[in-house]
Amino acid sequence: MQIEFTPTSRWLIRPSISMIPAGDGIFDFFQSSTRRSMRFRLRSEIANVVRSLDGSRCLEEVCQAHGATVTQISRFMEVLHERCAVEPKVVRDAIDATEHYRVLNFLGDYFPAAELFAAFERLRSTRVAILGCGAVGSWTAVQLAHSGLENFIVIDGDHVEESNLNRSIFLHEDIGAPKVEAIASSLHRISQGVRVRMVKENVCDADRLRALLSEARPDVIVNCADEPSVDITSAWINEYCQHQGIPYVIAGGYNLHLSLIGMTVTPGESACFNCSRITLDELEDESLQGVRRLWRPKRNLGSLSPLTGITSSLAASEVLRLAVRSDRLRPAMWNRRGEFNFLTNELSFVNLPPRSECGCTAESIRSRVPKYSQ
Amino acid sequence: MIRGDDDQFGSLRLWLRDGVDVYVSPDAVVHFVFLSTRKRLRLKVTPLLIECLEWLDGSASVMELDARYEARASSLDSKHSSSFVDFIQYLYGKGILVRKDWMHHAFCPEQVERYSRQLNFFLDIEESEAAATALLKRIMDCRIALIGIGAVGSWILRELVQIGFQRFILVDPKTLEPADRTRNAIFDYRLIGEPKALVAEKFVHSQALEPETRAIQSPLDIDTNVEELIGADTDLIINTADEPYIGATSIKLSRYCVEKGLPLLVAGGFDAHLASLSEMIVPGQTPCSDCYAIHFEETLRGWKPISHPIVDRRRGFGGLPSLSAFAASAAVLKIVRLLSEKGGDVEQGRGEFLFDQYNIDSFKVGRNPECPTCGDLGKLQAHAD
Repeated sequence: MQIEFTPTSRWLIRPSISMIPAGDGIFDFFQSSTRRSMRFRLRSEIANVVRSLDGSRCLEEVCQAHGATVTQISRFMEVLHERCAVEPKVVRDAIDATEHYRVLNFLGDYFPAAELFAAFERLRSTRVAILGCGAVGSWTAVQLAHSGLENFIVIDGDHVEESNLNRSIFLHEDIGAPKVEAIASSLHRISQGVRVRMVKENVCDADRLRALLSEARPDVIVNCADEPSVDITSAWINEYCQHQGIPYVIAGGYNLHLSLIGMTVTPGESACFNCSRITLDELEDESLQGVRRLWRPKRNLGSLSPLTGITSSLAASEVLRLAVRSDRLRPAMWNRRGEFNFLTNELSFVNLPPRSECGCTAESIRSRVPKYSQ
Repeated sequence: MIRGDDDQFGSLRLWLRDGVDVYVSPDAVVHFVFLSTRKRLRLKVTPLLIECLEWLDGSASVMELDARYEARASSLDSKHSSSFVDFIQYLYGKGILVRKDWMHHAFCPEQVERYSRQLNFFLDIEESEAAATALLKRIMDCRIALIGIGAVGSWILRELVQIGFQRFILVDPKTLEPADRTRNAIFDYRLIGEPKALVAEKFVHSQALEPETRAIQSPLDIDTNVEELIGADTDLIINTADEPYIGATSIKLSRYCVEKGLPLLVAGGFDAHLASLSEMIVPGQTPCSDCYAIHFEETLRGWKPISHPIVDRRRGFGGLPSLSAFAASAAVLKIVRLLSEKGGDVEQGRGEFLFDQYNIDSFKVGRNPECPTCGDLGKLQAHAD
C-alpha cells in the first residue's frame, strides 16, 4: 500500500495509542495492546497537531489550525507511521470494515499501516500442519482459526473419547468420531471458509511422516504428538524441516504437569531440536545423575485444562509470529523453552542456543531458507 | 506382619501413583519426586525395600505383599529390622501410594472416565485421595455467576465446564455477532443473532454431566441490583464485563461481595489488559476493588493520557484469541487454587502477560486498612483476635 503524507491526506492517531505528557515537552506514546511505550520531545505546535489527528480533516487543515506546516510535520509523521502510532484514515476504515479488526489492531502495534494488510494476508493464507490433535493440538487449531488462519492440515489417528473432554476442545457430540473430523467440525463452526485436510493416521515412523508432509506441503508445523514420545516426533519433524527449510513449533510435551512451552525452530535462523538436546543433556539435574529410575509402565499422568490452555496459547502465538513472516514480529521462543508453574503463576525459561557441534546452522542449510520479507 | 487393627490396611491394594517419579541411588537412597510440585522426599532404606517398590502396582494387597516380603527376606537370609508394613504406611501417609480404585469410591463410572486424569493431577497437588476427591466435588457443587461472555468470559466458561463446573448463572445482554468469530470460544456461525447467554447455556448443557444453569439477558449497570440479577445462591462471581467499564462494574460487584463474604474474580477487561492474570478478591483476605482503585489512583497520579481525538474507539482496540486463552487459563487456575486445600495463599496484586517476550509483569498490592469498603473487615478481625 502506498503511504503519502500529502497536504490532502487524512491521518489519525491509532485508537489504541495513548499520548501521555511527561513534562518539558516530552510525550509518551503508549501502545495499549502490547503495553509498549515510545517517547518523543515535541514542539508545542507539533504536539497540538498530533493530538488533533482524528482523521476527519486533511493534514493541511490540521496544521493550519495549530500554526504548523505540512512540511514541518511530514518527517515526524513518517516516524510515527514507522513506529505504528498513526495510520491513514483509509486504512482505519478498511480495518473497521473487517471482522478481524481486533487481530488487525493488534498486529498494528508491529506493522505500520502500509504493511498491515499484507502481513494479515500472509497470516490468513499460511498452511499450518498440526501433528497430534489431542488437548494442545485441538486448542491450538481453534485459536488459529479464530485468529484468521484458513488452511489446516490435521494429523491424528485416534477417536474422541469421554476422557478427552476434560481438556480438549471436543464436544460431547464428538465422542466416537475421529479426532481430525471433530477438529474440522470445530474449525468450520468458526468459519465456513476454513479448509481442513484430514489425515486419519497415527504416524509411527520418520519415513511415513516425511511422505505425509511432502504431500501436504505445510508452511508451518506444530508438533503436539506425544506418541511414541514428544522427543521422538520432534526429532522426526526436525529432520524433515531442516531439510525443507520449514519452521516448526514444539507444543506438546505435557511435561511433568508443568506446562511446557516451546521451542520454535526456524531452520538456519535458530537452534534446532538437536541443538536443544545437547544443551538439555548438559543441564540434566545433577542430583539425579548416576541414579536408576524405577521403571513404571502405562502411567496415567495428570492433566488440567487451563494448563493446556496456556501451552496452546503460546503455541498459537508462535505460529502467528511465524505466519506473518517478518522481522517486525519474530518468534519469541527461538533458542529457548519455558514452563508455566501451576502453583506460582510464573513462567520460567531455559536458554537453548544453537550448537556448532549439531551442524544444523551450516551454510548449506542457511542458503536454502527463504529470508523473511519486511 | 499384619495384626489386629491393621487388618483393614492389610487388605488395601496400593500402588505407586503415577504422579511420582522414583529414583534409586547406589547407596540405597530413594528419591521420590512429585511431578507437579517438584517437591522431593529422600529416604535411606534397605535394598530389599527398594526391590519391594516395584511390586506396588495395585495387583496384590498389603497383606499379600508383606508375606512376599517375608519370604524374600528368608530366601536371602537377610536380617531385616525394618517393617515392610511401616514403610508402606509411611508412603501411604505421604500420598505416594494410593488405592488402585480410589476414584471409584467417590465418583460414578462416567465421572471417573471423564475426570480420571484431572483427579490424578489433583492428587499431585492435594497429596491425598480424600483431598483430591473433595476438590473435584467442590468444583462440581460450586455455583458461579459469570458476568460477560465475550473475549475472555467465553474462554473461561469453556475451561470451567471442561474441569467439571456445572452450575452457572450466565449473564450477558448481547447477541452473538459475526465479529465474535475472532474472539468468542463458543462461537458457532449457525447461532449468529442468538443471545450470548442462551448460546452459553446451550454449551453448558451439551458438555456438563449434571448441568444447572440460568441464562440472564440483562446488563450489569451501575444501578443494577446485583442480587436481583444473579440471585442469592452464588458461591463465586466472575466479572469479565467490559461495558459500561470493567473498573466500575468490578467496584460495584466487589462491594456486593464484601457485604456477602463472597469471592470475586475480575478477569479480562479491555485494551491494555489483554492478557491480565486476573484478580481474585476474597473479602478480608485480599484487597477489594476499592483498595485497588485507591492504590492506582495514588501510583498513577502523574500518568494521565490526554483526551484521545477519536471519540468512539470501540473498534480500535486490539486482541488475539491466544491472549484471551492465556488470560482465561490464568483466571481458571486461580479458581482451582482458591478451592484447593494446598493451592497456597490467594495472590494479592496484579499481573500482566506481555506478548513481546512472554514475560509476566506482576506486582503486589496489599489491603488498604483505610478502605471504606473492606477496611472494617480487618479491624473486626483484629478485635476478634
